[in-house]
Amino acid sequence: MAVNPKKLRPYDQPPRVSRPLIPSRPDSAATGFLVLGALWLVVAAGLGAIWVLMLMFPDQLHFAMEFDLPVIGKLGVDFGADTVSSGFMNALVFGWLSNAAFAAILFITPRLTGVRLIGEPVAWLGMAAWNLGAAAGLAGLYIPQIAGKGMLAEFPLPADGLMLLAMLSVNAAFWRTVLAARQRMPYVSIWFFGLALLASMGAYALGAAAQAGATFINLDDTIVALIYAFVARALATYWILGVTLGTLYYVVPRATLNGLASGGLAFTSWLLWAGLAGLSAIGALVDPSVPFVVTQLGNVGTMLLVAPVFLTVATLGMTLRGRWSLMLSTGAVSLAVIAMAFLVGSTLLEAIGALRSVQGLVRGTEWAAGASLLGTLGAATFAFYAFAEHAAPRMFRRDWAGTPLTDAQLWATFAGTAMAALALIGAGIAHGAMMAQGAPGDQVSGTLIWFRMVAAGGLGLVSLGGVCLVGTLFLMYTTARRAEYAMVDAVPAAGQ
Amino acid sequence: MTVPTPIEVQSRSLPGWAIGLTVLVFLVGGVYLAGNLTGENPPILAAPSASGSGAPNIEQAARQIIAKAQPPCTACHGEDLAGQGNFPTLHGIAEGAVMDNLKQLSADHPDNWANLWIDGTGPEVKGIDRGGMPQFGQQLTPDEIATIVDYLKTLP
Repeated sequence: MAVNPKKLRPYDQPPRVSRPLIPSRPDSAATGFLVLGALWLVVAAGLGAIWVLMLMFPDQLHFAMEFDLPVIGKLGVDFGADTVSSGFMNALVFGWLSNAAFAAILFITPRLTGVRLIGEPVAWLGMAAWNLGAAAGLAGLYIPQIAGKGMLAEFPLPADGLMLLAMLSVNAAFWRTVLAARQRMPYVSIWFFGLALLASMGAYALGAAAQAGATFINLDDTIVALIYAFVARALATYWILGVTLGTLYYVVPRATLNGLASGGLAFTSWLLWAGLAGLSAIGALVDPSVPFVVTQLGNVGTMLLVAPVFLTVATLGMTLRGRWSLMLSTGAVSLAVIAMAFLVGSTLLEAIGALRSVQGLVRGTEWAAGASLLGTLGAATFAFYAFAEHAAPRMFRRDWAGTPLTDAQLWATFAGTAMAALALIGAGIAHGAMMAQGAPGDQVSGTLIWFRMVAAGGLGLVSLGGVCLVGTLFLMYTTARRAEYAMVDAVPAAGQ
Repeated sequence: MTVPTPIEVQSRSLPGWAIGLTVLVFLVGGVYLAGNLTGENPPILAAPSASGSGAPNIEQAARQIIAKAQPPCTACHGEDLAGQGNFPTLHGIAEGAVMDNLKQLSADHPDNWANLWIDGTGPEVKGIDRGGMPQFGQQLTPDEIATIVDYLKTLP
């Protein structure tokens, strides 16, 4: 029966639904983190392509300006290969990977503990603080007066403060949920997430303390540089690698509907990772003031990280038993398998790069960036793609079977990452060899331009993959039918 | 709404091959460490740029010039420039000359004594026994010599 709304009396009108400013719906913070992360991926890969173009044409593509502002005075802006490469790595790690990691932690934890996330609004606060801090820190990298010199996490103090607040918020939400569940032996992903969250917050706080020390008490430059190098490595081994492993341990059994093949193997991989990730960070302490044997011990830690990664891949490979056909179509399983392949490759390359003779050859060349891309754009990005493929329909509550856009996302990112990483690694080897022979600068640049051209093309493709992810999320939300999924909606009773 | 079941774990035991593999990896690491206990780390502040652009990379720039010089500095002073035979070390000159024959030059020209010495063509170094040291001013530019000196001053 048709109803004329003008004739409705007040008591016939549906009650007004008041929407709080900060949503508290289950998974809302995880959804926000994932969407923002996807946008950051486009920015990061775009910056990466610009960086490689700047390496190809260093004189033509270097923009330095100075503005005379009324209150601040003279403010310089430097847009060159060094600042853009730093922007690329920071946007990749703190923009895309960290947002995706927070999304994975906040989505997976309630499902493994059986308790709804406690402190959804606190997690929202973390999301706002993290992304504001990352954006401000990224902008600061281009201002020589306040920019750090390293590749990662040398943001101005206010940006550091915002990002620490964010880490504290997500830690609070995670630990309150885990402790409320009172599980005697939580699933292995929770162990990975817990240590990754605590260690990354500690490392980041150490970096911020060094920044404060340099600003207020003139802390020695060498000490500050050593702390920054340690923090950057610890963030890679504890934060990015830890959450990647934890996410894969969740996605593969869920997507295959198989149980985890071996809890013993999984827990051993966690124990080894927990010890070796910290040892590996010590390898970044390269200075005459640090005993040589200590640095070498750290390098051995980097080599031994092969063990937990191999155990993880073996466990998940056994978990896939009987479900290998899922790899033939684009989905969470095929994305996770690509992530595992990149994980093995990047860990082996990092182990090779930690050898003394190799370090002597490729130190300061494109090698480090190439090896790092295999881990960040390869292993971690595909692990979070697999997570997004599994989790996004559940976050948006949509019935979604994928589109050709998902295929494009997979292939563009896969081809782009392989091209960029291998080209940069090749460039690093060629660069190091020519430097050792004392080749003139023109000859070095002439040879490297071909490698760099391939790398620029690869990073452009990854950016296209990021656009496909954003497009997939948009289409999923706007066009797919609503669906209900099993989800955790139980809040523990008071005192529980 | 229902609560999803936790992920089932098929087995809690640790296979023997995993223990063997882990022990093997640790053994390899231990052997590598035992063979690399001595050496010296380069200074972190003179470390090359990780971006690959080579812009602030003083070591690479200096090494290129050193290799270009005839004879290269490393031919007499050793690959690590720490000295060999009768040729003195080039480490530790940040605070001034360590060789006796150059102490006066270092005192008279504290800012550029090393540049003058490597150049070797100026009146300031006339009369000082060069001990076989070539006059690199005849083949290197002042900027190239300055780059080498900047690098040498980073060597502890």
